[in-house]
Amino acid sequence: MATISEEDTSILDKLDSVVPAPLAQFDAFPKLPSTYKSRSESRGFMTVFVCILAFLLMLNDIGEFMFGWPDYEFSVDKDTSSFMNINVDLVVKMPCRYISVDLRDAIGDRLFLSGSGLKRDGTRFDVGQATKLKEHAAMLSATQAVAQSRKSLGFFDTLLRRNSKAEIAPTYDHPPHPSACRVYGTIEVKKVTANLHITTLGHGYASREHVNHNLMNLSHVITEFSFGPYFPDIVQPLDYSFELAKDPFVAYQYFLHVVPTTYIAPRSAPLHTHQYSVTHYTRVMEHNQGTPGIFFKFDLDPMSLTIHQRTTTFTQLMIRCVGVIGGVFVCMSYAIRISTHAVKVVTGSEEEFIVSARSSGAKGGLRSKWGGGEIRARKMVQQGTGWTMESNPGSPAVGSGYGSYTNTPLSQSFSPAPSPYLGSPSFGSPMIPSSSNPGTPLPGSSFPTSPRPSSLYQSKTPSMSAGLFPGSNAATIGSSSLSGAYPPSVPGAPSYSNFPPTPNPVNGNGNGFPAGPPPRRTPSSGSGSGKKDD
Amino acid sequence: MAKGFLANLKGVDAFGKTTDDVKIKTRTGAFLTLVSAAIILSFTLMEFIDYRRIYTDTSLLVDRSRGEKLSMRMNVTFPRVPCYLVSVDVMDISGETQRDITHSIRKARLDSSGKEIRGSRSTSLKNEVEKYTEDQSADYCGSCYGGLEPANGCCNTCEEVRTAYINKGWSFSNPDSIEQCKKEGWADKLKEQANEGCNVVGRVRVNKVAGNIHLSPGRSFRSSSRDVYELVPYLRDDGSKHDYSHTIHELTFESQHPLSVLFGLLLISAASLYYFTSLDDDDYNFRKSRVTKEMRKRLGLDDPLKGTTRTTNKPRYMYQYFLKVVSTHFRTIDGQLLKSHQYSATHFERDIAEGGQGDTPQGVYLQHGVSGVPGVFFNFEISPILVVHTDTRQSFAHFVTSTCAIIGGVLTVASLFDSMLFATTRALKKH
Repeated sequence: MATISEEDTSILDKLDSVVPAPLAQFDAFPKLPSTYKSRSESRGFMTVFVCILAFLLMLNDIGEFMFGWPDYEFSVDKDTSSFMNINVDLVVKMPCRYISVDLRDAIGDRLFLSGSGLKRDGTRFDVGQATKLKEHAAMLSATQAVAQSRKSLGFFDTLLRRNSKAEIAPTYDHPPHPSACRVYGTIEVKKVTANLHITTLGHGYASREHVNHNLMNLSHVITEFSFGPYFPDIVQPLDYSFELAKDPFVAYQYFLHVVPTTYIAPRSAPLHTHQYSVTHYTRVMEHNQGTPGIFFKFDLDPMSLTIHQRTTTFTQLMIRCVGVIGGVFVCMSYAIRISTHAVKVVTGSEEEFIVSARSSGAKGGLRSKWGGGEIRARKMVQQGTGWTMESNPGSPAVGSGYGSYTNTPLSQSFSPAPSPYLGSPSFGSPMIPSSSNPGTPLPGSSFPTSPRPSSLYQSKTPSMSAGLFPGSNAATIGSSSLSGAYPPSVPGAPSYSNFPPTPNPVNGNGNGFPAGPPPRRTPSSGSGSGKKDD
Repeated sequence: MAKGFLANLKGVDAFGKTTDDVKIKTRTGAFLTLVSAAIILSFTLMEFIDYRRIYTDTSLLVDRSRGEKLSMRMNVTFPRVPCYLVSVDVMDISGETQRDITHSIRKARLDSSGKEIRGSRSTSLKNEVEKYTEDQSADYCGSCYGGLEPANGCCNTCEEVRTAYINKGWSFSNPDSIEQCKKEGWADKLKEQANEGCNVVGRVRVNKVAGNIHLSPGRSFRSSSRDVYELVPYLRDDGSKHDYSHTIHELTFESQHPLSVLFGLLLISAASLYYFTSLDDDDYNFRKSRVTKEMRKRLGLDDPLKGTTRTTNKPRYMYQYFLKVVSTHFRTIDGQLLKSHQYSATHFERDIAEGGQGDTPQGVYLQHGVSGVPGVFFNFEISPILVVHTDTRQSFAHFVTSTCAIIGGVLTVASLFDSMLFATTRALKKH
């Protein structure tokens, strides 16, 4: 046995040995021996509940640490580069030789994109998954944007941290007589207001050819239209939209406003892209009224937006959790204290009934073994700041006074003659001194217990005549209190020699209340006394 | 014991005290106490640092100012263009044009090494000319050589003849045949100043709409509602190469409320002057502008074009800057509001000698729609958004709350941990 205890306590002993002995007085956490703590099942439930509550409150802080919240910052764009990229991928339902792709900017330059810059492939017109230009896509959060930008990276790219430049996928569908034209590529343009347009030959720019009106069909499917570095998986408003033309002369105008955006997700590098908002307008016209075509008119915003997904640091998380746990426990303990005090005030301080479930140990046999508990109101006796349960379930312990030592049941019991308790004739003489001074222990008491030192008790209790029961320790609540036999009837003992034994310091047991001031005498003390005892 | 009121209060005491003889003190408890004291100290220190740190909050509003005039303050040096070949013009989309601004612009002549030539502050050769014409007899009336005559019908100086020619729509190409110019030695002066540079400093006042300010050679004039630039003196081969390489030392935008200008001029009353000057941009107030400058530097919002230098050796080269101006307000910690402007800039340059076609850097064929004039062009437009940068700090109450939370939390958690340890020790010792 001794060896086991040595091993078990070795770690704690090591901990003990870290701190030199005289330092022990700096211990700021008062620990009470468990005898001074009263525990109840109801408060056990409360503790579990408080733990669950604290954990739920911590979840919020843990979520903030892991996922964070979006923080938006605006500033005037500091990027002084003169050029930016436009990524285009769209299919027009006309053969490639009939359309002309150009860009005009605010400086007055016209870029001829039909020859170089944008590739044009004959293909089949297929709407595919595109939808009509819908409401703007929902705003991307920083983590979503960064995740989408990385979707197209393969395994080795992530492993070797390669920033692979995505290229627009080549055309796969080359029918022999293509009826549609896919215009795709990345072009570098000046960072000024500009107009990228697809027009038909003969209607628009001066040209030697003229497209037959029957062959003009400006239906188009836009697969990709974005600014800045090419991230195919970031969804832009114009992606996967289509328009079907019913008239030959129609002008589709898209007005775009571009905002440079930087997404910063937690624990990743900043991602610089551009966002844009688009409105569109379709105009059907007569032959010479205007220029038919598809027009993308865009201009740039001087404000740049930074979407930063901010998280708390680990130390902040620790501070928060510690604060939450501490606060919840302290608040709950005060709440309990206040509520019990309030209940005590409201229902009167005579006795408090706390409903507790308890196995009915009085009945023996099968019932006691298999029978469930009963819920009954137990009279709780206040001892110090704790509670002790009234011992005898059978005793009609509903009278006043017996539960509380501050009351005068003792005086009743000490009272001579009228009390039916006083069965023993020998009660007489030795009681006399006690009747006058009920609090003092009787000289004839033969109980071996000696009073404990007064330091053990928080508050002075009136002395019950201590010598009633064989020494037994102060019981904690919940213990089955029916113990043993009635105490021997000692001549000269006060009336509750007949009373059930147990560790009810009210009756005076081994704890040995020291002699104290006499209990208060209540006038009604005599009335309830008849019911108290059997 | 206190009687009466206080006695009743005793029951409310939430801090029950444990008497000393009941407390059990252990060494692990002391160890935990010291550890928690250390943790509390470090956390409180971090909270204190957070409390003292200044955060900058940015918010966007719509700019609701009305009637303000924007003025662009600039300081540009052209090392290889003499001052008489630099003219400052403004055009905006409301149609207002200001040609050859001289009243708020000072052009200082620089010698070929960049040092300022003392004593010369004029745009043209006026100083010597004025001295010269004082020597003339009173009723000398020079011919205007066919140009548009001024009101008094006389062109007494070379400059007046030149103006007459420009107003007629002719270019002033041959000063040697003009009598007034020969007398003034204009051609000689041209040769003398051919190697100089020019530093243009001053303020140009514009409407708060999209427009452009350009510094280009030669005088500009309107002829049949088009602006024509007289480039002959610039392009003439006078023995030295001019080009519009430049260094921008400063380029900022400020706004001034016109009523403050009006009241400033009329000096109607100190109170109204004070009120209306408070509508101005605070860059006019030198004390406030110092605070603004310091705050901008801290936030990294300095003007993007400050200190840019572009050089070329082609005479027919055009630089274009596209500026987008955004109103900005700064609010300091002590609640002071400072108004200012910021801008974003992109630049482009073009060799006009190339002609109407070219290639982009990517290789795409390009056609210029505008023929282009050599010089430096600042195209600006105004943004409707107003940016407010606010300096804030956590309040003291927040700091106190955090400290209490830290202390309470750490102590409670430690005491829970300690009592668990204690119970475990007890349980183990029992067996």
